[in-house]
Amino acid sequence: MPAMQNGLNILHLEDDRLDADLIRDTLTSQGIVANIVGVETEREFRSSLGNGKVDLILADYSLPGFSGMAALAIARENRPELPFIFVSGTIGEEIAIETLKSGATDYVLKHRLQRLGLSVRRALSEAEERLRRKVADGALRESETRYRVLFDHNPLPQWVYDLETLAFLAVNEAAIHHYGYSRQEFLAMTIKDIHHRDCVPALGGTVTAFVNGLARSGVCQHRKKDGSIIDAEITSHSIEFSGRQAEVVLGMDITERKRAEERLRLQSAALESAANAIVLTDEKGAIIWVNDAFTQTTGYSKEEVLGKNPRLLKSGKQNHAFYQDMWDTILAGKIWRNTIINRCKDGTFNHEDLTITPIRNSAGKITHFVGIKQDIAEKTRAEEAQRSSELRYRRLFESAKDGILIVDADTRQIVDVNPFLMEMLGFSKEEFVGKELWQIGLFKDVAASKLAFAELQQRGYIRYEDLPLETREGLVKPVEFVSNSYLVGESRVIQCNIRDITERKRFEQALQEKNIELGNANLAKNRFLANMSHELRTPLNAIIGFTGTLLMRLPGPLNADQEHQLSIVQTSARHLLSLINDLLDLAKVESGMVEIKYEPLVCQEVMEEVAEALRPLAEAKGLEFKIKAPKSGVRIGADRRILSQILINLSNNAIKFTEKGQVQIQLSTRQSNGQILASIEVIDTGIGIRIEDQKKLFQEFQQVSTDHRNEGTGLGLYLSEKLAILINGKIEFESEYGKGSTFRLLVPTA
Amino acid sequence: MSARVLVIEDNASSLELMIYLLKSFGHMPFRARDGEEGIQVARSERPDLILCDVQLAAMDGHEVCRRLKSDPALCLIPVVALTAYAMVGDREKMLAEGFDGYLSKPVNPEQIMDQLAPFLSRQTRIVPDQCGRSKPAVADCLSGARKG
Repeated sequence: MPAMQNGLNILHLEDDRLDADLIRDTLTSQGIVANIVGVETEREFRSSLGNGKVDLILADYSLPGFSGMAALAIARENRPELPFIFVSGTIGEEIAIETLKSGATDYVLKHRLQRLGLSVRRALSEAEERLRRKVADGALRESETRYRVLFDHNPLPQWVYDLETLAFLAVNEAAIHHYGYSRQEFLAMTIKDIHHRDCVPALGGTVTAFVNGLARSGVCQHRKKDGSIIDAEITSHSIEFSGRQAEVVLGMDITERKRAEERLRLQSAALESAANAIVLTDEKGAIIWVNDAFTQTTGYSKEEVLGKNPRLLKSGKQNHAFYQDMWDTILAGKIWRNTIINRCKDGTFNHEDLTITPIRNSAGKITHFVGIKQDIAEKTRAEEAQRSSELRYRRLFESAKDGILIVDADTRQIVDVNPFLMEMLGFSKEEFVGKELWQIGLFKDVAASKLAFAELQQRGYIRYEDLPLETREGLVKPVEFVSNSYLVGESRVIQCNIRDITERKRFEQALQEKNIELGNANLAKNRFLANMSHELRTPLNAIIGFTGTLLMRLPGPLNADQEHQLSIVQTSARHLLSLINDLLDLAKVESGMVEIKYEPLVCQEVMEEVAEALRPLAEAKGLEFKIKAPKSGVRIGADRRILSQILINLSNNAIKFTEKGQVQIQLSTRQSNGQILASIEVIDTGIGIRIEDQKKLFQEFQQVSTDHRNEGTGLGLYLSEKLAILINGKIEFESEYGKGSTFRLLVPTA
Repeated sequence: MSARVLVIEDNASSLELMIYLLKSFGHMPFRARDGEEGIQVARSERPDLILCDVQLAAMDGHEVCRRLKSDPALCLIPVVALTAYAMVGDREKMLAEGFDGYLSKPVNPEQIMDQLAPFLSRQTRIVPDQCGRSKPAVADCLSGARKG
């Protein structure tokens, strides 16, 4: 008990001395040591109460000239915090209750003083508790007041809402002003009514504990009374408000700030990503920021240039006056613009259009310079290329050996004409330019050329192989006329290329005449050969015919000499016939007059025909004539008569030069250079050919078998080889003298 | 089996040879020295077979053949070209122009009657192209043609 430690002061109102002593002793005996001031009258009581050093009042109920109840009333009025215990003789229960109602702390009967200690202790304890509570209450009230002021006068909108119902419980003036709702309107709403979108916790879920709850913050969108939406940064924490769990919220409108931030972000991104190199310096020229384009064009990294002066890019190609002019201009606060040559990190030079703008602060002082560069190397190159390209095409146009007309597709007027065309047609430039094509008098058929122009406009291309144009002198000039239309920038032009084909036509005509001539010559040659053949055969008909009739003994019997001599005539006549035939055939082949008709052939069929024709001849000599061929047809593409003749020639030879044994035509296929060739071999068991004779074999008029009866013309193999070439084939041979020969025709299969 | 055969030929030697051969083999020959005469004889004699040279003065063999074939009274008489035109393609050309057969000069006296036999049989004589069958098709090739 703090009061006891500091010494307990008791004011005792008692008129009976004995009672007073008894009570003192009782308190002492019950462990309560106190400084007891005894008073008997109202005056003494008031006086002691006023000096302040009283912790507890003990009072008799009835006193002469004063009363316990009156003392209680005085004590209540002046020191309401002091415990007041009645210690008296027997009083009625009603009176006891009355005293307690009037504010007495307790009531102890004089004949039950053993309760007194307990009563005093309890009263003191309660008083102390009351005092403590009173101090605390005072602090709370003060805090609330301060808080109220802060709340009401906070320039930022602030409100309190019920955590359970979400209803607004209080709003401040700023909220009313900012959101446009009156206080009554606010208090009739819940926070949902002003939420446009739910708040997003700005701290991402992290929370900070406060004494009275949890502080939260975030950004949400609120709707004002006028319907506009604002971004509000919210800080809130839980409180108890009028006995309700509530949340006090501080809302800051950050709409403008967000907008500004976004604008800054965009501006920054735009500058950063600009294709033009941008450099920002302070007023002394030290670089404080560059964008990506700067680092790309100069080759320097941001770290390398920050804090440096842009003169590190100086190429030395521009004189002092150039830079002096720049500084003079920008230090005067003016914009400087010029083409500057800068040296990149790698030593190469950049031609740049540079604009430097001074930036002033609000006081008008130049604080920064911003330099924006445009790389013009590319532009310069492109312009240069364009110029030289134009020049090239212009020269091409001027020096072309074709006439060229440029026509505006919309106005249909001639825009340009090259010198060659003017010369070709005899019109001057003035006569062309500004006119429509048919106004010049080039075309005989104006209506047709208008139609053609319409077609050109539609199709974009038109071509005449042979168009007659009229020259100024009225001569007709045949030209090849090709027009196409294309876009030049925005406008569509038509280019007409006009080629004088007079010479070409003349040449073509000459060629045609020559061809006819050649054709005629060929025909004449053919006719000559045919007539030759006819005229040579006609007398032979009588010679061979009548020799035949004589040898057939149709006119009558012959003696041996007659028969022998007539046989010689017959053989010689036949030999002459063979010679005539072979010569004429050769003449035809060599002059390219053999008509070749390619057709699909089956080799076996042609071989059978040859065998059928020649077998009687072979058998007459006692030779076997055989065919050996695969069952499935071997197909080639060739002229049937040529193939037949080659095989007949080869077989004829084989029969001629074989005295005993056989002649065989054998068919197979073989692979050669990725081609499948038909191989037709004529194999004999004849006399064969000496090595030294083999080289001469395919030459004209060579017959190697000097020891043999002179039967051939010596043209057969030579002709066969020529014929083989005509059907894309070739002839090979193998021979062993005395054993036989193999002649092989190779032809590609179909 | 004697047949009436008209020979139209302007070469005297060739004409004599054919007349001699036909007579020797027991046939009855008629002769004409040019195309005009040939047609007249054909009309008057109605032969079983006509052998016609191709290179004739005035009217050539082609024309003679054309006229014979366009005459309903004569069109069924086989006409065989007997010619010294014996180069590649001549046989086909003449068969295409209407000749029923083709024989090249010089003729082989030993074979000629066999070659004409098909045209002398009444059963087969209207079948064109039959005379060529006596020799193989390849016989028309450059060397084959002259074997006839």
